Amino acid sequence: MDPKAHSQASERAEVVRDSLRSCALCPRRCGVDRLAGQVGYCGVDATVRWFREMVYDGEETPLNPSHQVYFAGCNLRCAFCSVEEWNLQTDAARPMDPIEMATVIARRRRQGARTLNLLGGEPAVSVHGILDLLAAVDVGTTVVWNSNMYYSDTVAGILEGLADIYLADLKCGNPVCAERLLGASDYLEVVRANILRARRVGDVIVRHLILPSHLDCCLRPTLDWIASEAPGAKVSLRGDYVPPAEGDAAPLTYLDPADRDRAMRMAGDLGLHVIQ
Amino acid sequence: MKSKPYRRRPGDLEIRVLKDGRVAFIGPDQAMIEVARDLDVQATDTERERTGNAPQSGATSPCK
Repeated sequence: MDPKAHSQASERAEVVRDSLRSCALCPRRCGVDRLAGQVGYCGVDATVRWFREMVYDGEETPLNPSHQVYFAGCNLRCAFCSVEEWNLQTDAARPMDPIEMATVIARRRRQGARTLNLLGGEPAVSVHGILDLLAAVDVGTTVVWNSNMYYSDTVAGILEGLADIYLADLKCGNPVCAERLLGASDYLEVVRANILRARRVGDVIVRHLILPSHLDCCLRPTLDWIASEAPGAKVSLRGDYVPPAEGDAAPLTYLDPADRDRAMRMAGDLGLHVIQ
Repeated sequence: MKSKPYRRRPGDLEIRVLKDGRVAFIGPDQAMIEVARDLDVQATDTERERTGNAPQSGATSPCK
C-alpha cells in the first residue's frame, strides 16, 4: 500500500460510509439507505460481513500463498457462482470487526501468506469496512483487490494507492452473455473502463474463467480486447469451471481439455502475456 | 420421479466425484483444502503402489 493512501484509509471509509445513505457504490445505483438497514441488489446493509478466511495456493503464482478473506454480498448474479449461498443469505455471514480481522491477517502473514486477497461476493459493496480494515493492517501488506470490477468511479478512486494488485475478473465478452450469465447488460463497458483505470495506478492481472461453449462469444472478444486496449497486461486463463447443479443460463458441462488448449493457443497467437 | 438437485446453504460443503475419477471440492474452505491435500497424498500413494501413476484431485478456484 502507498503510505499516504494508507494514512487516509479511515478518512476515505467515512466518506464512503456517508454515501451509503443513498447507495451508488455500483452501477446499479439502488439508492437505498444502507445505514438505516435497507438492502439493495447486493443484499448487504452497512454492516460488513465475512464468511471465510484461508490461505490458498491455487491463485496465480505471483500471489501465492494468498490469504483470502471472503466478504458476503454481490452486485452480480453469476449463474455459475461457487459461493452463491453466501451472497443470497448474507446475514448468515459474520459481521467483521476490523481490529480482530487485522490480527488474523498479521498471523497469516507470519505463517507465510505473501498477499492479502480481498474477495467475495464482490468486495466493492463492502468497501467502507475494507477501508477500516486496511487502516488497521500493516502498511507493508500487499493487497490484492480480487474483484468483478463492476463498481462506480467513486470506488475506483477510493481504492487508488490501497490496492497493490487488481485481480480483475473479466467474465464475458459481449452484452448478451453478460446479461444472461451475470445479470448485467452494462457489465462490459463498466468493467473494461475500471480495468484500464486500474492499470494506471497498480499492477493488474486480467483473469478469465473459460466457459464451456463460450470460446467464440466470450473468450475470443475478451482476448482481442486485451490485445488491443491493454497490451502487456498479465492474463490468467482459468480452466476450472464448475457447472451449477441446475439452471438454463450457465453451461452444465465441465471444460473440455481440448478447449483449454485452444484457449491457450488463441492467447498465444495474440502475443498475450499469459501467467499461471 | 426426479428430485431437484440439492442447493447449498451457508456452511455446507460440496464434493463432486467426476466421471473421469477426479474429485472436485466446490468453493473450498481451509479444512477442505487440507482434506484435498491429504486425499491427494493418500490417493497418490495408493495409485503409485498399483500402477505407478498419480490420479488427480483438486479444488476449484473461487469465483465471484
